[in-house]
Amino acid sequence: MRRLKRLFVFFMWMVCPATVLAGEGGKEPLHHVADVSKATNFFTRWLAETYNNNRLLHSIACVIIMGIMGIILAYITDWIMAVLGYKAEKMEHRE
Amino acid sequence: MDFFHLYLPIAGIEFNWLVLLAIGFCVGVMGGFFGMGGGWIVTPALNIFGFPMPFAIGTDLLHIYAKSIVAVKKHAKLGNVDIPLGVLVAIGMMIGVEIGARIVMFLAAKGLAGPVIRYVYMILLALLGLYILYDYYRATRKVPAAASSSKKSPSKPGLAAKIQHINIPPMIYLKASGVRVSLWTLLIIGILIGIMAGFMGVGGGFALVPAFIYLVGVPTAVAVGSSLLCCIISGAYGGFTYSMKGRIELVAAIILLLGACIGAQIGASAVKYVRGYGIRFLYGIMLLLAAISVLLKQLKMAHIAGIVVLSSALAISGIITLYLVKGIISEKG
Repeated sequence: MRRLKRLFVFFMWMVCPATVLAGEGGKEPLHHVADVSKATNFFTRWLAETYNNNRLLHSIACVIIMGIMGIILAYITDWIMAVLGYKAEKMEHRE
Repeated sequence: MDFFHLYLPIAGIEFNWLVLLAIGFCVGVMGGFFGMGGGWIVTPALNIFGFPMPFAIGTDLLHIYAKSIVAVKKHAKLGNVDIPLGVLVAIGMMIGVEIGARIVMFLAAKGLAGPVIRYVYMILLALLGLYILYDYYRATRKVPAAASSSKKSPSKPGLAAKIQHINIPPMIYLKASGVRVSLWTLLIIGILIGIMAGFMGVGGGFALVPAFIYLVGVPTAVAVGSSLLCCIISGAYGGFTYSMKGRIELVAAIILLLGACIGAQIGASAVKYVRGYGIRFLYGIMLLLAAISVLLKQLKMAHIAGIVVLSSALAISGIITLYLVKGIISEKG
């Protein structure tokens, strides 16, 4: 059993870096270029331009904007539910 | 382009934002009511309505990330979030999500992402639907509750106890959950579920919660809260990596999120008023219809597929909303 454990630990240490590295390499042939001319509003145009010019910035912006949206909506929904008199903490499941 | 159509510049498609809002709403209602994430429906629904599969997955992951923030805020207030557990599993999930995303991009390069992922969805949605119908059948059968519960009521799941006895260093004590577990167990759970999340564009909560309960031995409430924390981190990473691969439509994700937030409140509130397993039966049927609509999309009948998936999702969300309205009226009246 002890041998098996050692073997497993060794295997894990060997496999995990290999698993991470497995994601590396390989070019992505399907590149999309955003058509800025068709963008109808400032936000969409900004997104499309950022995407075309700086993919990293676009990706970070996507994550940050969605995070902020999530936080804002969390507070808004909490507030609305409190106004309506619903407290999720006090609800009982009847099923 | 009319008022209802939105140009999505990266995917290069026009999309009706009302459909996005409706998908988000339905998924929110079902997620809030059944406690199941909506990734199962969002990815195939987006694909059916014209999103290329990698875009559907990436956009879904990004919306799951923000949606999980909304949910985790409530759970954190209740003390149901084990931060070390969530973070460690999420590290594994990030590795898994990257692997899943690479598989998707590999398939996309070969032109196979759509069909392969649709087939996987078809099978999983059908299995999930059948399982829920079986669960409904079992619950409504006239079997004495004591007899059935006596068989499966261990104080601690046996498998969890065995896994907790795996002493592969480093061992970690999770204070909020009260369990001691190997770091490797958490990482492996994370990687496996992460691959599925990255490949299919799901949050993975449906697999994380049972894994936490039965494999790690975490109390149910903490398992739910911690799984949502994992969904935040892995969803954010999934959104980031798919964005780096050029497969995200942020505006679509925001609209989905708005619909989902409204729907989730309705779904969660309706739990108070809906009794019985009847609604579960409908949910099982809906999942089977979703599997059929994915099949129809595969058979190049996207129009019918869209009608089937959206009408069934709207029908079940409508029924839940109706129960809520009826419940509120009868409570006040």
